[in-house]
Amino acid sequence: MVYVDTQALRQLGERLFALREQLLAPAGSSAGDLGDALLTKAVGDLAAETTTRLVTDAGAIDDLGRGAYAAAQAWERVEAGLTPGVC
Amino acid sequence: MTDWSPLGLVPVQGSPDTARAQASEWREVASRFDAAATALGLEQRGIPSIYTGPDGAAALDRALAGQQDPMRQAGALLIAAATALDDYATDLAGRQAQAALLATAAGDLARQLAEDFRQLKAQANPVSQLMSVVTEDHQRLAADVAAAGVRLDRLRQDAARLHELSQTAAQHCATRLLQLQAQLRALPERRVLTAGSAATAGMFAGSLAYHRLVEQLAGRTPDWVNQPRSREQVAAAWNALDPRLQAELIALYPVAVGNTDGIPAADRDRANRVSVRTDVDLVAARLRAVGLSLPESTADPADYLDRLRNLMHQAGFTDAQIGAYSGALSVHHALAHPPTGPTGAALPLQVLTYEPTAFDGRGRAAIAVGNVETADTLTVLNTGMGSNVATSIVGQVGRAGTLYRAEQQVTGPQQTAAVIAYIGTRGPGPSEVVTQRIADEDAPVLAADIEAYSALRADPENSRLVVAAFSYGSTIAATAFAKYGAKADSLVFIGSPGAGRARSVKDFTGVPPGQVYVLANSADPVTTLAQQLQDPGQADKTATRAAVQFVHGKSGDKWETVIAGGLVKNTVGPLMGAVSPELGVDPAGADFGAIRLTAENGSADQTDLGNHASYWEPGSSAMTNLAAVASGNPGAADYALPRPNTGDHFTGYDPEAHK
Repeated sequence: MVYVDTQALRQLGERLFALREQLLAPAGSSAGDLGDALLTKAVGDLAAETTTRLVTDAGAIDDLGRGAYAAAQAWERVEAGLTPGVC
Repeated sequence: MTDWSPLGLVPVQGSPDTARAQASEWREVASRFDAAATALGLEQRGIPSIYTGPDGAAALDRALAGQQDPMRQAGALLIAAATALDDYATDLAGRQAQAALLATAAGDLARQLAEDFRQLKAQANPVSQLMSVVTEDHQRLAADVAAAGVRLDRLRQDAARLHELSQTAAQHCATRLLQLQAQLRALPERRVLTAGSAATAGMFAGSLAYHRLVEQLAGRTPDWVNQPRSREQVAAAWNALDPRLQAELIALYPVAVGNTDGIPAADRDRANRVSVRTDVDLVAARLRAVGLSLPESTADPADYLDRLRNLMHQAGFTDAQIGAYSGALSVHHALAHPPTGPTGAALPLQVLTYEPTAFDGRGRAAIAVGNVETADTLTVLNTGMGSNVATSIVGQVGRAGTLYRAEQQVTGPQQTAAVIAYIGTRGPGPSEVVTQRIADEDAPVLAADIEAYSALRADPENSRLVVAAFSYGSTIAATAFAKYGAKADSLVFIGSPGAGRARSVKDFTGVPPGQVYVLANSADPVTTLAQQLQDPGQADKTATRAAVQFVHGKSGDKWETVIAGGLVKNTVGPLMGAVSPELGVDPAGADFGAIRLTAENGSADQTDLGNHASYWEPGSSAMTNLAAVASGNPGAADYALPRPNTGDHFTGYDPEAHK
């Protein structure tokens, strides 16, 4: 017998959605001209890579949130319609 | 910044404040990564309050744990970058302070020199010049000027040295940042394409608890989900499931259900549409996260695709993700704009295969126009060079719709048709289109898919299966039928550059006698030039001239340019030791033994690649004849004389061109 708190699972999904938003909050400043073309480009490239990583990780967390939501819904469906309490 | 150039000093450029601001931004982002990882860790510790059993708990534990380390590492890398930039800013500020002192000293010297010059000039009156009198003052001033000049030179050298040191420091810092960028890029990326394939599966469907539940309800374990079985076993397991469980499995395992042979077409379609919807939603969500949104659906799929790719690039998608997701969006686009039937109503579509990440993001997809289970005739349309899901599925569905309507015109509504728009093999790139290698690799894949789609028919004994293969796709199909046991009631080559591993129709043991057809337009350069180029005796004459005309006559279209480049390369190839095309014998040749059908479009220009696309024109002789044989009414087709061949290849004389 396995007990699943679907409400807690759903709340986990919501918290993960919120976490995704925090991760993607816009940053404050920008690189501007550092006086050296090579360094300015390196700073720009690393900033772009950082943005990619942020979006990627936010996407992964988003997937986890969706997964938690979907899992909660699936468990609820099973518990409500198919075999209540049986796992 | 002070302009030092009038003094001849090289400035130390750069803004320490800008560098510090960027470093501060990276520290803030690093703290965000750390905070997120910590939050995931807290959620991980709360798992026991959600699951009491080990299965779902372990899956959720893995999902939450796997995301934390890369995020912490990303944070650490950004801290290192911020430190490097701060160090650079400190050095830069120090050098600029030193440079400012030099500038002040240089300014003082310049003023002193100006005064000395003024006095020298005042003393240089005509009397003193006539008497050649040199005063002590004059001598002193001249010595001062000379000494000041030396000091100014030293200051200039010192400033140049500071500038050089500053540049070196900037380069070191840049090198360090690039190293950190590479490390950031190398961090493991945890991304999933569909909710059912990872996160959900991990937390629920992937848990043993759910398998046990399914086992209890269905009396068996659907282990085909993770361990592929035979098509018959899968079909038996699936059909034994309660419809509610089938719906659950479609929601939870859309990728597996949508692409597993043995699952009925209607259920594959339902599952694949879930996957498409999930992928589209994920793209939309990621675009929204950076303030962007999906482009409006427009009538022009190429324009839509260009705009979509541009947006995804802005949103930080990797190239592989852009390939896969743009394939997803193209399938979505095709489903949203179905071809219409004879009455103008939208035709039903079924997504039989949907794997957007296959072949490194080129993707695999098969969309049927019509109902493959109940249709009286089922035709699989295989395509040619340069086809991938993103760029080609919309057009391929359009061609399938054209054939569907043409079949209906031949048979009327009493007979039903289904046509599968298939982009399921890797296919050749521009540099591979003259070789047989890709056809050899793709042929077993096509053979397996033909067999799988054939099995989707509810009544195989009383329905027809036709394979119609276009361009390089016909080379793949010929190899699949000659070497990998593919079977069909009819096989049609369209615009074929060569029959691959088949020497004649006798090699197609899976096709009844008299059921191999060929559509070869006498002015289609792919069936003419490509054939002639394979004959060493002909490569130097007609083909050379035509290929050169080809280049000059058809600019602006990428695909045509690629073909032209291939032809030129292989025309002049013998001189450079390059290989010639190796795509096999001419299937329109008399020795091959296929039945040739008329495919003329009135053009006699063998350099016009538009003739290669003419087969798909609605109402064309080729389309009408294809519809006749596909629907099982070969008597309605218009037959053509085969090309006489003295060897394996087209000789240059085509009776169809002289009708």
